Amino acid sequence: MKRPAWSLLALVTTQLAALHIQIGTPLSLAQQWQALHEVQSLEQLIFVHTHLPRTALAVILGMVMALAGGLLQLLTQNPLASPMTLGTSAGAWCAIVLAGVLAPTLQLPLEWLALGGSLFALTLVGALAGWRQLHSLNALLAGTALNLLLGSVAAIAVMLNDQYSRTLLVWGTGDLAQNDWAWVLWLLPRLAPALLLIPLLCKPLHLLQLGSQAAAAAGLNVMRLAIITSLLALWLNGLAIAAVGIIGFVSLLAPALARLLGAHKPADNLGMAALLGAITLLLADIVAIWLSHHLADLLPTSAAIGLLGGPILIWLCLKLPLASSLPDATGHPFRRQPTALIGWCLLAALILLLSAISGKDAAGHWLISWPDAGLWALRWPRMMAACAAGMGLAIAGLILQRLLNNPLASPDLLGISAGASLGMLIGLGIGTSLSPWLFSSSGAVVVLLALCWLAPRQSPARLILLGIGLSSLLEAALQLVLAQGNQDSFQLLNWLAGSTYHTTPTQAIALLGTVLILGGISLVFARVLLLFGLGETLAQAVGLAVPQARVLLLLLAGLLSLAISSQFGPLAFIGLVLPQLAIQLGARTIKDQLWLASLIGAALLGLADLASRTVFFPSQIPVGALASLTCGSLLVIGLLGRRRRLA
Amino acid sequence: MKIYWILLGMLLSSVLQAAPKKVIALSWEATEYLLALGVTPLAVADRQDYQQWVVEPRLPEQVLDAGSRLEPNLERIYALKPDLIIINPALAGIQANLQKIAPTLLLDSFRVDHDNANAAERLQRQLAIQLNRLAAHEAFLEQQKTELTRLRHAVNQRFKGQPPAVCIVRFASPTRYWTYGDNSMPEAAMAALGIKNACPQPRSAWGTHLRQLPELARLDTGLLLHIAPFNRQADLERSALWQALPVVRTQRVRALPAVWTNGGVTSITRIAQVIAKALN
Repeated sequence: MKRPAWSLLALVTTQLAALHIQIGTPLSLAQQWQALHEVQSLEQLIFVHTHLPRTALAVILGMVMALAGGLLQLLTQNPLASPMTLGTSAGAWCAIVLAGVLAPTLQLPLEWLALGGSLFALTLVGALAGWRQLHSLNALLAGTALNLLLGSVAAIAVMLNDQYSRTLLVWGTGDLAQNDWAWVLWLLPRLAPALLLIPLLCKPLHLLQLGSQAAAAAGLNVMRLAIITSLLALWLNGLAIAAVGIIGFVSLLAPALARLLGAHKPADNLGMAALLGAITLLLADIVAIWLSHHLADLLPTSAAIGLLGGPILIWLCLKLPLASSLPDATGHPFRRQPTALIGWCLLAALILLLSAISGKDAAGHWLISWPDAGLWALRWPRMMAACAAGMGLAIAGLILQRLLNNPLASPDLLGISAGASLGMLIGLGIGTSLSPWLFSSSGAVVVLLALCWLAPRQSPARLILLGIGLSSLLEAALQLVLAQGNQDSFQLLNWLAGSTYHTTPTQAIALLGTVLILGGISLVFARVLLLFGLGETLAQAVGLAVPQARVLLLLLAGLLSLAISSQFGPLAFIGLVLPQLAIQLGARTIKDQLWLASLIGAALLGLADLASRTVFFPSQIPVGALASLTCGSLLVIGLLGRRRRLA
Repeated sequence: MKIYWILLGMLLSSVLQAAPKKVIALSWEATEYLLALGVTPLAVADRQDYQQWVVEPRLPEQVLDAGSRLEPNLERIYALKPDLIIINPALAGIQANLQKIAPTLLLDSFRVDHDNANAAERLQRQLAIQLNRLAAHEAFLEQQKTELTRLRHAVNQRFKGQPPAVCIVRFASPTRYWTYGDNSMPEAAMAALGIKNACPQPRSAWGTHLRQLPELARLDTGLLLHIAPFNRQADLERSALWQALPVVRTQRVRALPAVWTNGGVTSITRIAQVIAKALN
């Protein structure tokens, strides 16, 4: 790394910090200088207690977040790893929300809650993706799925306490505004472990770049290094979240940009990332302050950084080299005897029947009887829509997993649901009386078209990366709406949690029809799916037109995802887990897997619908969030079971 | 005039024996209208939160919970077999569904293009006509008017015709707060008391705006009234900027008890009551 680059970056940082101070205050430089010695006017007071700490915090937190991301990237050797993409920020936020809603009187220290939540999330990502796969796409897939899941858990908690949570929403959206130096002074002593440890970690991290086996052979205790580095990264990120709420992107962009600028050695990379982090956050906050001056509403810093960082992230996703994941070599160690599909059909029908006739009466007691016409008219559209969504997601997940040869692929990662949500957001922003469905589906269509255009030109793994980039952009845009803490925020949260509440009979029938037709087409193409499962080279060898087949399969999965997510928003984990579950339950052929996965999908979502109506009676929880939670837990249980059998 | 209304009401009640009796309110402003008319709703949405955030008018014990305001429980509503369901625009999307259960009335209380305080009175009257409760409505309005006049007199007497301006806020975080401007219920209450809004805001549908703490530094005159509960009050009061605010240093800050700012006529009177009490 050359010296001029360092000086230049340092210069830019100071320049931006100076600009950041100037943009907020109407004081002249002389008055500002005077304010440092003696406060005379109110403006000087605001300057000393609001603008200066805000600038200081932007510089410090920019560095802190960049270091957190940089450490994770160096450790995992994954250029796109960060607290945001690995789901640990979502874990921290979820922990803070749950503690705030469940035990508001306890006032637990936020930084420890954040650390606990993010540790939990990292453990899950490790278990899902495999600890040795953290360098690959798998870690990002698991992280994004976890992001969606934890997001919907937090959303349920917030919605069950909506009046109370309004302040929680406003606080959690990542804003740097300050009232005094308290947070800066709070932060500084807690950064001490980082300053002490990072110089010690640089050398072993450098050694790790040889690969973990070579590093271990050279006498490095890889396990100890991994634990210390990840704890440090999560601690740093937890501090940032406790201080200002979630501000994504910096932790991802700064170290990645440092690498693009040629800083590859850990010491260089971390140092330069820290400077770039400060620059990014200062820049974003300048935009946020400037726009808040000119708009009627306040713009949180996190939204500004999303607007700046989203496009860069998408560009990075398309540009950065990324290790492709190893094929799932462990396979599925145990298989039961294949069960007749007819048995599963009967079981699914029984479950659906039970969910259809169960409910609670006016007094809240269980009522299991055939519903009368009026009740039935209220019940069947949402139940049918839920079942159709379960089937569709299972089919789409299966197609994608075969296409990418990756058991962690799932339709909510295609970016289509993110497109639908962004469309919905825009619709809310415009505030027309048009159906919100119109906006969400057009958002989804735009992404699907882009995918079809990109599909022949980019590898499928890149397309998934693009979807992840879009999801991150969506999260940033969401902050903007949620930060207002008004009625719109809750409607949006509710929609994002996958509610089937507003489904009309026509929509339900149309959705079921679409899913059945597309599912039928997938059945026809079962052989193509099988060939893809054997690998693209082999598929080409037996005479399959791979590029065309790839577009076709993507289109199938994309259309399914579009039909579902334009109505219910993103539904995490369902499409990921069900195809796997079908294999575990003994599906041997693609056709069996398709049938079984969609049957389980329908039955599971039917049950989720029943639970949504009855568990928190008379309040309801969105079906999607419930089903995601169930599938997520199934996956974790399955993984733990597999570990035990292997041990 | 009043006697004619009462007569008309009696006439109507004899003609329309079928005036709805079992009413479900799926918004809090509608709940308030009903209670003001002396009608006990069969069920209301978010019952527990209502008791914590709206408090007054008190909800009788027997009123059931109809689920959340965003997604009320349709099956429970169906099982309760109401004669009338009242919703606000947040539920316009399911009006068709509700219509299948019972006649559904959409009350659009908060809009940027009408005066929310006037609309509250108008919509409550509309509801009174539908429920055959016009007499109760008139009596209620009379009573509210008397109370507001009494409060206005008291405030005027206390400050000898020169009451201080007030700024009403609800804190969202130690750095941000919602404030109430043109078209908000707190401003309507101030107007009824003859008090000026010390932090005027542009007109909007709900009259609320999210603002940053330094803006309170410009509050040279008048009182700052902040609505409880705010769970990070201690953080706010510890901060240097807060302590340095002119309004804090000259001890012109008062806390208001939990009071609902998005309600109807009852809410306006209640806000006026707590303002008058805080001024004393």
